[in-house]
Amino acid sequence: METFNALLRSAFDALLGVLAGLPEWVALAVLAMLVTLLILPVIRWTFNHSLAERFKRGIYSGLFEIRLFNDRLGATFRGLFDVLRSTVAYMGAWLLPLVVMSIPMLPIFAHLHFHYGYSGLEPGSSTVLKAEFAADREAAKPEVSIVAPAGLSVDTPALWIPAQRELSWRLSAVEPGDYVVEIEIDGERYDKTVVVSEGSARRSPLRPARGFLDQLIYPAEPPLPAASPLAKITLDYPERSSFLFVPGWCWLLIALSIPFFLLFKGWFGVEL
Amino acid sequence: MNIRIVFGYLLVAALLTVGGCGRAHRETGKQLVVIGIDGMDWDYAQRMISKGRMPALAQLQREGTAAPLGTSIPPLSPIAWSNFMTGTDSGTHGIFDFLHRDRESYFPTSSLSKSEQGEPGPCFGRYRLPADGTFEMLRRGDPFWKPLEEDGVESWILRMPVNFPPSGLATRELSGMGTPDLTGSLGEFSFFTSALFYEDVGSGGKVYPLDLWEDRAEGTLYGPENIYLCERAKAETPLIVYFDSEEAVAKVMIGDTETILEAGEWSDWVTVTFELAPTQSLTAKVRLYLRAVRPEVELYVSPLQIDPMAPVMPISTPADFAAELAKTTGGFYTQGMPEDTKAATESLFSIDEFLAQARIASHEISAAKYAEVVPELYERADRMVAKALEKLPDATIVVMSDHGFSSWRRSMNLNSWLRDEGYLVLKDPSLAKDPGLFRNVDWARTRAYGVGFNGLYVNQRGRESNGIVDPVGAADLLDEIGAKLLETVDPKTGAPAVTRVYPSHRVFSDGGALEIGPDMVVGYAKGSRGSNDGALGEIEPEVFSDNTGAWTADHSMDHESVPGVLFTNKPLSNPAPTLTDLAFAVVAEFGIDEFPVDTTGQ
Repeated sequence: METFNALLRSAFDALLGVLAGLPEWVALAVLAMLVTLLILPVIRWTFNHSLAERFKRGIYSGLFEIRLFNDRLGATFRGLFDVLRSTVAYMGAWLLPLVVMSIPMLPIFAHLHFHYGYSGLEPGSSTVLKAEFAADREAAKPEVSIVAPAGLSVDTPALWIPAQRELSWRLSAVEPGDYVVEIEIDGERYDKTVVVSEGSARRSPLRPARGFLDQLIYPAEPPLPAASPLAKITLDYPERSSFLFVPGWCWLLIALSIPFFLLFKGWFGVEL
Repeated sequence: MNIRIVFGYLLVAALLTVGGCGRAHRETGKQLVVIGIDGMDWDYAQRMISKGRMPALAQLQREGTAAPLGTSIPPLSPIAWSNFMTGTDSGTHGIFDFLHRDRESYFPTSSLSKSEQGEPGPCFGRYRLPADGTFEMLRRGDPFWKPLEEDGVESWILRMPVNFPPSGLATRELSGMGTPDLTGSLGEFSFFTSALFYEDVGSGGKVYPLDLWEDRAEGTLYGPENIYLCERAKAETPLIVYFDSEEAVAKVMIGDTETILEAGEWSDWVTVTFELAPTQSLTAKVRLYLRAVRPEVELYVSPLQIDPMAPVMPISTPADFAAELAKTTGGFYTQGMPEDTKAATESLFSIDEFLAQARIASHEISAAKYAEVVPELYERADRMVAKALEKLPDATIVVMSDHGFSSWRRSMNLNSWLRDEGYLVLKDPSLAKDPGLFRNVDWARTRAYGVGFNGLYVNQRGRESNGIVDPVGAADLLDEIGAKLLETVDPKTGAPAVTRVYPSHRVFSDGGALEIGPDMVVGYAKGSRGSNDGALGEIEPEVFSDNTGAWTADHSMDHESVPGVLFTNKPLSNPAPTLTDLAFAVVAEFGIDEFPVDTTGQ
């Protein structure tokens, strides 16, 4: 997983680096086109077109029955039932393509979220940096020091909350740049990236432990070393707007994908 | 862009911006900027100029015009600014004091604005459909930017006092003094302490307990009333202070928002969210001050500011202008008067802490010693003027203040004086401590009473709910009281306590608002003022007392003793010896020759 994430990080950094100068909606339109080109072959090979065609005919015949025999209550209800049954069956035919699509889409969307889902720290703003220990850590305050590069400042001494096994600091952004903060705990050093910029950039609000799920959800930074006593290191980046619990960039990507889907579906022999 | 009016409060510089507009405006080829500085005193400004510490105002004095500016009666900010913006006096705009009185209950009420709630909807379990709420500005009359806009002149009005809710008549407006906090008050702080025994404060805020645990202290931050609940209750959100066992540092969690502070440190703006009902929430902005971690955890939370990014009350014109400003400046106090004088007068802030808060409120932090605080404020105002002169070399620059300032050494409780003179009678004169709000006043035998800082009312039959004075004899009674007030001598200083009295029907225009205000305004001698307790209907044993509080200067005195200032970089086409004249002088610069229709200033 670590290697896979590292490859994807490099790929997305390269791709989004090319698009970095463009307005965000244009960059997302390019990404929407690429995503569409990726999912159309998946749909082509996993979507059962003949079965779907049968279900569509079931919908049409039900609608036709309602229109023809609208003066007969029994026939109308039978037609409605056929429409409903065929619609559910048609949606069921999409289940397999959706499951297969989700395998490449999940890491792609996870990576994109860390480029478009958070606002950057601005010079002059401050945030909270936290290092959280594993639950089996003793409650005594560890020996700790923190080193921040010149573009950042650590404003407070380390605050230790024994019940939460958590060390935290207030960190202020001084100048734009990509930085690494070094936290030394009991003689071992752990890094955390900090991005101070307004534009699109890879921002990692959480450096995870080595678990598969953690790495799947938080791929923007390499996981902590295996021997680390830390469970995670977090940095509060302001989250960008969302609607119905879905990030705004995601809605825009989906909306921009629709015209590309309609445009390219014929090339891949996909019929809805 | 033709006219920009920029106001500050207590010498707080407002932001001068240029932007587009949605209305049709004509190109006048003229720019005029009014920089309003609340409380700038003519004599003090002259001293600063002579010392060479206000070069920009010195330049205006040398090359333009400079004169004391006649202030309002009484010289209180809401009245003075209303005089300026409407070109009329209290008899027309209806603002006579910070406080007016309810004729039924005699209770003091706010003179600036009032809120009204409609009928709430039916209950569904714990929740109900909320009632519609409205805010009404009580100032009457048209502000001077109305004829300007009607004539196609673009106007920006920033931080103008007594303009909440904004009039909606200017191209851009941001309301100033009189803008409430989220609870609807003029600014209620919350102070949290883990001390087992503590004293609550009298006004201006509330002290709340923190429950102490091993590594944290827990409390509740209260917001405005939750209008979605069937049972009356305040909106609330948990507040937890995690503190380190060795260092004087703590993490303050309000809801999901985390802020780390060292003891003695102020936070940046913190967003607080109150959950009101499923899917419904309310956000506010606060600043936190971690006063101490040991031996007790002490945390100050500023009054809940209306979030300019999502204002729940109207604070700007157009509605998104506040958000536009917040994006540019990174947030600001939306409350009318952000300096938390109450926390200082209630001794929750030391002088140093108050000054730090006041500097944060005005976006400028320095470390001036006490003797340099006021001169530094004047210098800051001067820098603002210099900036305007530099940025707008062709514009007409007007620098004005609503009134001056003076030391406040002695207080006079007008109601106690009326009691001693037999005009106000107590139900139980033997009470050791008066309950305040006139609750011990025998209205059936009381002929006169005082409300607000300078207002004296006759308890008139047919007007007050328990009035006893025949309206025919009211004028004679006022003359009698006025004569006695002018003869009153402060026993400690041996000087007159009152140097001027102003019968309302003689000094104010009859613009339809006389019935709102007092029958007489009392002009206290320079250096003295009506007492705070007396203003709220508390009858103290002694009439006179020393002012030992932290608020050591004031201006609610004889209006001629505290004039404001007027500096211009070029002569105005119409003279403006007083605030009311200045409104006309401003519009006249744009060729408008009639404002207001019936002005006392012209």
